[in-house]
Amino acid sequence: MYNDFEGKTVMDLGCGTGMLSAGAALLGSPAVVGVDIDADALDVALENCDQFEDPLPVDFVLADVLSIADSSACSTSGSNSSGSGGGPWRRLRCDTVIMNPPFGTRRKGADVDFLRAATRLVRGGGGAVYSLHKSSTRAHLQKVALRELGCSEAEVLAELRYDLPATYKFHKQQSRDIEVDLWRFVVPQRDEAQPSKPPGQGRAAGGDEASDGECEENSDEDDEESGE
Amino acid sequence: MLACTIKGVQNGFPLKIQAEEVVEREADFDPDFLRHIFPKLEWAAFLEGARADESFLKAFHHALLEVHLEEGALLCPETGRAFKVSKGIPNMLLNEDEV
Repeated sequence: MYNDFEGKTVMDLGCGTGMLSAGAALLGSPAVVGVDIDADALDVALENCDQFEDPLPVDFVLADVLSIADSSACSTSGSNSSGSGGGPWRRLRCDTVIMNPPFGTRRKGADVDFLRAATRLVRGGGGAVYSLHKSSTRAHLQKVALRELGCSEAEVLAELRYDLPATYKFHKQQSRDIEVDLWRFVVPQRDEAQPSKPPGQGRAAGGDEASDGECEENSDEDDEESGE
Repeated sequence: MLACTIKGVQNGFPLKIQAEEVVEREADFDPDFLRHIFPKLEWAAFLEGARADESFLKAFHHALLEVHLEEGALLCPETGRAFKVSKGIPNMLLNEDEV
């Protein structure tokens, strides 16, 4: 529908057993990288991808997604990360991110940290982030995406009801229905022409401010801070 | 490599290629020579010229998408720290004392 997969490089953050990664490959991505902190989950992910008759163009990396978010700390304000700053993960880039991040119930803010990492990965070339989040955080998430993470669009594509079985020790109920939104965030293309421009034009700073301003204009969301 | 040498020109390299006729001349495959020239090549300029060539793209495709490091390690050029690769999965997790 948006042409975010065919011919595009895709990263799946917190990929777990790799189902979304495989899905992205089936949708036409020629290069998918799934990242997870759980080695056992990645073993299962490899097995899952081996089930397909044709080998899927999916690779997995054992890494902490939150370290990607951390390393972008200096670029979240929307200004210069193309040059020196950006931390050790600054070379990591892709066209599209897909993820089913932790909902941030246990570790507050984990969902936003994943989103921060995701927007960081598609920044530069401009790209889309598909992500699942609890519906109860909708207004907050939209505000964060548009104002803080430099997204130009933040749209809920679908509402899902998600039957979350008790998987962790801290889950008290056997299972619980939670309402979940499928989001599509768009990170605009950064003006990459600037570094190669001959010196003396000197309007880089002004350009960055302008793009920050654009993000503010779009943030006319309804302010209903719904609790859980 | 060739560059524009007109007085006062600062960015006279690499020259853009305006092709009207391209021919292929067979040459002996010499791995030693290739290894010798490898670090000396102006890669950005070379790629600019090679990107449209079908057989280059096939070799590029092979090296980029078909060659996988299955077992081994990735080494940090500064610290020598080895990030092990097992079953094709690089382990980039740090120990607590490395964070």
